Amino acid sequence: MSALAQLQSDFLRCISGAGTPVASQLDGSQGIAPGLGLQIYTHAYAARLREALKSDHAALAWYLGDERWLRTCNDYIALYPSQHRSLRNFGNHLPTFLRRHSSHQANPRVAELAAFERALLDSFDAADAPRAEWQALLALPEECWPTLCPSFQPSLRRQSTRTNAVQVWMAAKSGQPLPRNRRPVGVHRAHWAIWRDADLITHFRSLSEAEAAALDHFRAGGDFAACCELLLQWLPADEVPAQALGFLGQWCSDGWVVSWTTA
Amino acid sequence: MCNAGIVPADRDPGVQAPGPRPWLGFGLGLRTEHFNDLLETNPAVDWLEINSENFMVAGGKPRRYLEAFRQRYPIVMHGVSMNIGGSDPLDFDYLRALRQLASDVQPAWVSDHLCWTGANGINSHDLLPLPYSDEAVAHVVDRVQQVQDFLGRELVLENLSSYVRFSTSTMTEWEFLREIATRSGCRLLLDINNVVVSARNHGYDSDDFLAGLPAPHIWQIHLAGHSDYGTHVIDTHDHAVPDAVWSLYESAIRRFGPISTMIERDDHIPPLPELIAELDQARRHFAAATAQPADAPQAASPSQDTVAA
Repeated sequence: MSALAQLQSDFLRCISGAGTPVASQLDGSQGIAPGLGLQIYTHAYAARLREALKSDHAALAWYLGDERWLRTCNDYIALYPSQHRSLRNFGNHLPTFLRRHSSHQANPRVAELAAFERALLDSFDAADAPRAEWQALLALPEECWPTLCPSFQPSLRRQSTRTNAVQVWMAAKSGQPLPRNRRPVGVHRAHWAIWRDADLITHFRSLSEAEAAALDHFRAGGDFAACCELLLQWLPADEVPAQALGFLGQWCSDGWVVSWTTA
Repeated sequence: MCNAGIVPADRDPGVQAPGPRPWLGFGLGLRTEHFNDLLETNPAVDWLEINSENFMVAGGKPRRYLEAFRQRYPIVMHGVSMNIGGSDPLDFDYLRALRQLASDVQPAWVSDHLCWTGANGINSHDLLPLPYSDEAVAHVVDRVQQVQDFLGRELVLENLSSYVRFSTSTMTEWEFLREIATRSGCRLLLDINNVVVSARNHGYDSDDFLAGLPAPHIWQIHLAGHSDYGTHVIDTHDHAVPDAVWSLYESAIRRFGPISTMIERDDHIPPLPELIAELDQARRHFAAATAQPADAPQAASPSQDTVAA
């Protein structure tokens, strides 16, 4: 390792709290004292990362309150130092971290809230894509329908929750009181789609069990015939084709579909 | 013009002296808070500087707005993540994304900071100072040349605000800047506020800093404010431009001639009209500096597209 590389490694470990002493490598002959200079960088390191997390996870910060939020941030920063070129991605591991964190394992709402906020963020600046026309689907020959598979907007995200995390998010956004939650985890089980519309506004809405299953099926590359088979879990056989077509129509209307492909 | 003899004996023979300095006028750092006001009011702003990383995303609002601004204003790309002084290998994934953005945006130039930002794969997201040593000069010059070859354009590098000095330094900050610029052929983004901050923190004369710079390499100026804590100054970029920065700005313009100038506010972002008024203040200081008679160096008129430094 070169002298420069060693110095940088030591300096970064020092300001990130790993404790490596570097004051002896600093020139204190004039101007600002080395200890004060190091304090400035040390403070800035953590403050900048915490600020990025708070900017992207305002609802989670509100839900946890100042003290728990600060502890959570500091633990995350220590365990997941940034390996990203942009602060935009610094919180990518936050939901995983919260699922494993001893203080939050008993409350899965915390990780689900973080995951919901990240889904909104990821939808916001996902790639642009054209929107499919419903008429193009109706024009398909009948024999193509069994192998039909829609492709979806890059901004479309899916999340399933076991808690009222999304209601917590809505309360945080609207300044309403925290929703009361006395029901056990799992009672609030819900499915969500998050997407960005043609005007670049990010939306979300809930999905029924059947719609969520159908959407997940198509997003995984499944075709229309297999989707109909899947929907038999929720619907009588004679209602399945119409319901499957209804889902496609709704998704197309919502702007989720980029194209209709067949084998 | 000062600093005529800028070419050191050890200039890389492949490095060309800079040509005429482009003149963009008076610009602003583009901030999301001002997106709609800028598009709706068309204020007197000559050009915009974007934070490159904010637009290195797949799509959505950032890229849609950028396209709208690109059609109305000359754009300069300013990055914070190149880690040009770092010891980790250059991140060519990042550089590919930067090159693609430059291809999309067609900026007047692409800048970053003369600093290191991380080590061992960890990004501090801070602009950290280098030791001013021969080792660091050789290291940075080599990396700048690699980046310039990859991007197909000269890089513009900004001087930092700093709060520590390394005992392995063997030269001043301005000597360090001069060595890197003249040996790599890169251009310099002179942040006047950073000079004021570092001069206060490290006890040097900011005029010595200006006098030591290689004038033809200076491509752009940043103006900003800072926070004064008495014993030291922190570059917060969250205040209006203070008198000390205006004064040094006038000195820089008198010394170097017209240089494309912008206001850079990163926090406590005020309403757009407040920044437009501050930009008008920059124009007045510029006019005062270029009108200096007698023994002051004469600045060329900025009425053309390019200005000889």
